Amino acid sequence: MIIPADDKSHIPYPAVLQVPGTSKVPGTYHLVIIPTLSGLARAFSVLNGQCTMIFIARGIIWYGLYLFLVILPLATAIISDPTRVDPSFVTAIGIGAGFIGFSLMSLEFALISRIEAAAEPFGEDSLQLFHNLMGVIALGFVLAHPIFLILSGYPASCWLNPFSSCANIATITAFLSIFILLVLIASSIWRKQLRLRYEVWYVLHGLFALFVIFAALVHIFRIGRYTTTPIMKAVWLLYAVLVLGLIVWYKIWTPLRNWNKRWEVVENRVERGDSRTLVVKPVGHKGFTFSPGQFAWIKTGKTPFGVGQHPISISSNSEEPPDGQVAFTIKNLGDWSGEEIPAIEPGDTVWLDGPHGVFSMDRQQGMGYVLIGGGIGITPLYSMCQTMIERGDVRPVYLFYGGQDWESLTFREELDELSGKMNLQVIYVLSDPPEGWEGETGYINEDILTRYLPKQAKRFIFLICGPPPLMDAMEEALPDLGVPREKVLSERFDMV
Amino acid sequence: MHHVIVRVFAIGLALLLIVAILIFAFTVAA
Repeated sequence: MIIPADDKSHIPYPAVLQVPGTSKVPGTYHLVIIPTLSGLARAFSVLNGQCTMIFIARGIIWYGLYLFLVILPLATAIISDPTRVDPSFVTAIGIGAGFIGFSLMSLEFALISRIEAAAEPFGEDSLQLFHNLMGVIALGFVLAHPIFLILSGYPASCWLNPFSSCANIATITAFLSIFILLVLIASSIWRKQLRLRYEVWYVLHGLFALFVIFAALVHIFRIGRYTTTPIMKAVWLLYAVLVLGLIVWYKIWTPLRNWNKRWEVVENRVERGDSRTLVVKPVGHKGFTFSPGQFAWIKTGKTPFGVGQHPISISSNSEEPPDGQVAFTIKNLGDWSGEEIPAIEPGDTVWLDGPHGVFSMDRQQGMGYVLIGGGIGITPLYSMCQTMIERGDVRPVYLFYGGQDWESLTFREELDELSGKMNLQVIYVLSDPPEGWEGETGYINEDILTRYLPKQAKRFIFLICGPPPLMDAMEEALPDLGVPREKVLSERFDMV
Repeated sequence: MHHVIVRVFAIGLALLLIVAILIFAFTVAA
């Protein structure tokens, strides 16, 4: 379309038109519109503002629903007043703490059930962190339940000793529920110190959690004080249905959906940094489309059912890959990644559940990008760079890549090659540099960022993926650099 | 999402729930 030079009504921001001197096809010219920086910033700010508001609104709705379900037993108990007993104040605190502990424990299942609509506003790694934190907080409320009841005069010997003569089903289920909950939380916090294999822990974690919920329900119904009215019975049954429903959803329904969506391994190649890249292609289906930065749960083995799913970032470009191929780069961290992944051969089957995650350059648009990666956290960032080339995206990208030593930097050569094809500057930061190294040393910090980033970088989108120390350092450094919080997207890759 | 915000959400919720328990106790206690 030809627009008069003085007519800017068709362009929502100030722009200039430029015909490049060279073209790919002789005799054909590409007409390129290059918007001015301030114009781009205004346009992106409107777009990002609308997206952010939608996500905030959805986040508030989900958080409100969560809060409603947490306090539902308490509120119902007050409204329906089923006790007719009038407990003492201390007893009532104990009862209330028990209710809250129970509902928090039940909702732990919802936080990790991979319901995409719920995960989208927060990010799955944030939901995982929230699950971890609320598990510990739930334990606090659950422990407060017997403490306050014993303080108010309940016989400790009956409740704390399941073998005592006054013990019954109500006391034994209460004791077992709390005891197993303690084991569950301790084994989650100290899994690595206890040298528990991830797969073993995963199975135990699920079984223990189920046991805790159903032992607690038996306890509530055996006590019977808060199950006398139909509305209270309905509340407890709602939680039982919720927990069972969520388990059926992600343990049976999701694998069942993937049953006829087999993926075949095309290549299993060794990468720098004790890593491997699995290239897989869909068999008998179209595969999936994804945004650069997303991840999928990978399961090896004959069926998509069972334990052993691992969240792995996609490391290939997202723009129409040949045969729907997708690549995952996996670092050797022991058991599964160190034993099973190297043994996978071309032709083997893997099962994917994905794509998942909100860590993507497509979620926020900016004038440019600052990618900050540490260790194997480089994989989603590498996917973003490849995708930008495929899209012909000429926006500037600054990639800060932290690693231990020069030899172990995964995709080092590939990134250097990409920097010749796109507007990419890679800054390597080594904590253990080789002799004669003239680049940056130590860890990525505010000083290093300031040295390389242009002034307008505050308007860029920052995408960070790496180990917790890097994430924590960046979450502190970026506000100091004047980067608005909404322009920072991050993902912790050690979420399970 | 910023992980500091997640921690603030979790701690804020815990405090809110303590208040809810106190309201419950005041309401149902003799």
